[in-house]
Amino acid sequence: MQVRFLSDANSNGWTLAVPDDLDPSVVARNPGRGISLPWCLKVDLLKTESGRDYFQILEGPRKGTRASIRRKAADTSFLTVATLHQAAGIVKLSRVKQQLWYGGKGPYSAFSELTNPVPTGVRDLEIPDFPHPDYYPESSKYQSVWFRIGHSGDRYLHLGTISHGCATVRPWMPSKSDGRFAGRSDSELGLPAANPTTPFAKWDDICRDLMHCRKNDVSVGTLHVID
Amino acid sequence: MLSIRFSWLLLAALTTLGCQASRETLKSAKPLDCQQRLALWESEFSKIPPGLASARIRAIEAIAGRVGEDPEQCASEKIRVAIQAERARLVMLRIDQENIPSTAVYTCDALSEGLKCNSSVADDTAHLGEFAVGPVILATGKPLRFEPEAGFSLATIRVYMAARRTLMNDPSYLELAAGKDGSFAVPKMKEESVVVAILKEPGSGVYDKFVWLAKPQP
Repeated sequence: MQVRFLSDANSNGWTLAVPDDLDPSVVARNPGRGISLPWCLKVDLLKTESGRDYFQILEGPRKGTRASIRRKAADTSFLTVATLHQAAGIVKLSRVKQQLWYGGKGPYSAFSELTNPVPTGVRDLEIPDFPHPDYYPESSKYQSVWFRIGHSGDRYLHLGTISHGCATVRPWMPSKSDGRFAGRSDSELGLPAANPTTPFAKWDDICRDLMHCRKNDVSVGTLHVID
Repeated sequence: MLSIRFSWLLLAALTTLGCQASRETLKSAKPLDCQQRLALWESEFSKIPPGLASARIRAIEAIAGRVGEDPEQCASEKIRVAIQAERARLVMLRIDQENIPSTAVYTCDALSEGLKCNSSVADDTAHLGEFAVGPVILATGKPLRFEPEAGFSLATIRVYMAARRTLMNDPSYLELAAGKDGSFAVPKMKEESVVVAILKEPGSGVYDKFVWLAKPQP
C-alpha cells in the first residue's frame, strides 16, 4: 500500500477527482459527475499512468471508491507523501451561552436554532462529505467545508448566520433590520444573542485545523453540546 | 512522369509527417493552467445565445470540454452552477399562469437514503430554507401542474413532500399522486415544507431532483 494524502489544490479544501467508472472527459464536460474530495483525505496510490494518479479512498463517506486525478505536471501530484493527520479534535458548544470552543481556543459566537436545536451530548464530527453552498465567500475560503454531526441526519458544524438545527458558527451578527433577514424568526437567527460581545471565529482557522484531525477513518473528532 | 510520381510521393510523405507532427503537438499539449481555464470559460460562456435550456446545456458542456479537466476547480464550480441553472428551467411549476422555477435542482447518478441526490456537491435540501432567497409556494390544496421544457418528458416524474423540520433527522417524505400531464396538488399543511419532483432521464440515467420551498397558507 502506498499511503498518500490529498493536498489543498486551490486553498478551498476540495479537489475534483474522476470516479473510476467515468471517462475524465465526462467530468470535464459536466463537473457535477465528478467527486469532490477534502483536503487531508487518506488514499492508497495504486498507479501513476499517462499523467494521472489512480487511487483508492481509505476513509470518509467514499471509503473504498476508486478514482483518479490528473497530475499538475509530470513530476507534480495533488497527492502528498507527508502525513497530514493529527489527533482527534474536540469542539464544545453551549446552546444557552451561544458560545463555541475549539481545542484551547474560544469562546466564539455560535448557536443552534432555538426551536429545533442540535441535541445535547457528545457526537462524532465526520470527515467532510461534499462541498456545501457557497454563501459566505467574503467570510472564509473554507465556508463550503461542513462537518456532519453524528453519522445520520443533516445536522452539521458549519459557518452561517441562520440555523435550522445545526451547530452554526457565526461569521458576524445578523440584524433583523438587515433586508437579507426579512421575515426570519428570532429562533432561526438565534436572537436575541445570549452574549453579544463574544468574538467571531475565523472559520478558516477552525476548519483548516479540524480537516487535519482524525478520530478514526470516519470522523475528525467530537462535538460536545451542553445547555 | 517520374518527376510527377516523385512529387506525389513527396507530398504524401510531407502530409504524413505533418499529421504526425500535429498529433504529437496535441499529445504533448500542456493542459491549461488555472487562470487560463477560468479565462476561457468566462469568455466563451458569455457568448452562448439565449434559448432552450437543453441547447444551452449542450453549449456549456462543449465549452467545458475545451476548458478540460479541472482538479483545482478554478472554473469547474462555475460550470457546474451554470449547468444547474439551466437544468432548473427544464421543469417549472405552473401556478396561476406563471411558471415558478425550483429553488434548487440537484443532479446525480444515484439517489441515496432519504431521497438524497449528492453529486460533486451536497444535496442540501434540508438547508435550503437557510439560504434561499428564491420563490416560495403556498400549500393551498389547489391543483398545480409541472411545466416541462419542450421535448423534456415527465414520464418518470415522482413527487414528494416533507416537513422541513423532519429533514434534519429522519426525513419522512409523503409521495403525492401526479398525473401523466404533471398535475398534482400540495396538500394544506401547518409548517414549512419542501416539495420535491424527481425525474430519471432516459438515456443518461441521471436523476434530476427539483425542490420548491412551501409555506402554509396564512
